[in-house]
Amino acid sequence: MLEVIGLCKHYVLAGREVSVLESLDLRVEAGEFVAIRGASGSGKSTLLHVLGCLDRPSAGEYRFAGRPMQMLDDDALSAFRANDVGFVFQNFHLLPELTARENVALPFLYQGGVVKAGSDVDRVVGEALAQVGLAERAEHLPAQLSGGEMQRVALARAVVKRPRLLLADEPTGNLDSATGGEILDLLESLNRGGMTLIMVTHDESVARRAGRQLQLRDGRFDD
Amino acid sequence: MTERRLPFRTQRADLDFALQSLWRHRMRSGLSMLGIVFGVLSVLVLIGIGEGAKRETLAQIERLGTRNILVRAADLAPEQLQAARLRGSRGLIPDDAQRLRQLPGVVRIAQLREIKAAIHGLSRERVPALNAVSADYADLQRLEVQAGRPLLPSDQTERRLVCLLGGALAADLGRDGRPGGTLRIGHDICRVVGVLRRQDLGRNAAAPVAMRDFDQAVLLPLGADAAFAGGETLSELILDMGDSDKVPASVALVKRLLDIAHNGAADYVLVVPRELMRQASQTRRTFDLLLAGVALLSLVVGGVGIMNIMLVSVTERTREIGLRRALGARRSDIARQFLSEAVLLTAAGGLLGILIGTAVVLGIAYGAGWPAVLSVWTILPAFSLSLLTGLAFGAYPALRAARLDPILALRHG
Repeated sequence: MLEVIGLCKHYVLAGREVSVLESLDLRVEAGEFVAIRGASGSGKSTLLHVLGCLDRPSAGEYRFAGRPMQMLDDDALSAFRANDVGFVFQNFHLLPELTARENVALPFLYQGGVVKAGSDVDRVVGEALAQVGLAERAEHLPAQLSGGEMQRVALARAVVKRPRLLLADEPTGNLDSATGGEILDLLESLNRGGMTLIMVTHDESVARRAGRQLQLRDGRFDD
Repeated sequence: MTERRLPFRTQRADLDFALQSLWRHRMRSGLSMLGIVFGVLSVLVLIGIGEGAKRETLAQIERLGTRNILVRAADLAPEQLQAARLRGSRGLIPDDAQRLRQLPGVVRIAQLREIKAAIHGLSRERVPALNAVSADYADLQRLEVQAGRPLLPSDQTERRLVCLLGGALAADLGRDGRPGGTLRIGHDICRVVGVLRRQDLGRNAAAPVAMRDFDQAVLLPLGADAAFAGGETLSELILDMGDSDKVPASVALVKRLLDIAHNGAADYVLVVPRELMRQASQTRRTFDLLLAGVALLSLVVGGVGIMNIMLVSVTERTREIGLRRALGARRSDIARQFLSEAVLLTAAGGLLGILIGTAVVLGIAYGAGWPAVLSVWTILPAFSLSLLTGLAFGAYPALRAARLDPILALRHG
């Protein structure tokens, strides 16, 4: 489903060029669950950002479903993020002033044309919340939720538009192992439902849940 | 907990979010829109009162007649009067009228003499102005006779003790105030022959010259007043030049002639309504310019306040911006979100300014008896200007928000 060829990412930091990703090749098939492992600073988050088109590669090619993503303009990349990708972050990134339900509905603000005909935002949002087991907490504010619940809301938000690709950046990093396990269970079940899942983690036990593990070291995959 | 309706399905989403966000920081929002409130308020009040005063002023000058030149006896202190007499001036007298009548272009001259004499049968607080006038005075001042007849030239030549009453005075006098009634002035009985239509001038502090209030006046034929007035000096001459374009050329001539007759004594004043009109419109242009300056300045000040608070808001919500970008918001979506907030802020400020301004203008109009003008054509531009300020000063923060790098924004704080 997605293919990365010779991907490089450099930053200019204090006048010096810092290389984060060096000539990466990666191919992920539809329905796969891939874990990318690496120490902090290994470039795994940057890779995830490039795959989610939040960031542009310095060089190389990124094809998603055959489309050359590096050719697209900012609006087209926004549309891609709106419709084809869901993000889950380590620190949840919920808007504190919105209820769980409103947080989950947030993606419909942008390029909302993808709402399938006949489907209604309220119902779709309700289903997403039910899917993560938070139907009863829908009207709670993030501050009234536990860490695990917050990450479940974030997960519901990431998948509410049924994207083809789910990108998770240390989704269990801020949770205790039991709660983290529940989140991983949810991710797994989503993957079983057909969603392609790429997860970045430094935790080996978490990475083991994936169908395929890749180790990133200093901007390159270990062979 | 009650379910709030999701604001996500309509075009109103931006507005809803902006409202929520402004309401959350209502103290800050309120303070930051004060500048706009005062800007719009001051514009409204300045226009409302300035325009009212201007209209009144023009109406009064108009009433003096732009084709007329007025010669009024100067209000002199006793020693000044003595100095004038020593120079050989006898003040403003009928002879002056005779001389001025020789000037080319003078169609007619009306004369007025103020008289001090007691009128009986009136309460003490009512002291009507007693004026002896030539027969054409009322006509030249465009005073309408509502009932009875005007003063006639024969009243003057035959020195008939008859009078015209001002509308308000006539109403106060009741039965005696109608044509056929009588009025005791000093030791004489004066027959009322006519009543003037009320003018209801109202008070106006901005009046460029002293206006006579004919509503409270008694007009007698000039000459008939000899019994109780004594003296020959006049208070006012009105030269009808027939055409307002002939006025400027004649003014210097009138002045020269009077200076010679009065031996240079400054015991008269020339009032040229046409000139006053010109000055008034010039003053108005200056005023308009000043007004525009004040409006612009206060809106710029208000706008800078808005920009400041929006920049703070963008910084505070950097992570939110990053998240929204990750969820698919385009740069234009982010820009629109913050621009909506800025415009909403200034619109609310503008609206508040209009409300308070309207109250102030109406309050002044009611309390001070000053004419006030409030129209769609002052309110609408004031409001659109406040919207425009929001757009102009909200643009930079909105653009800054839109240009944030999503990754850096997500990692912010």
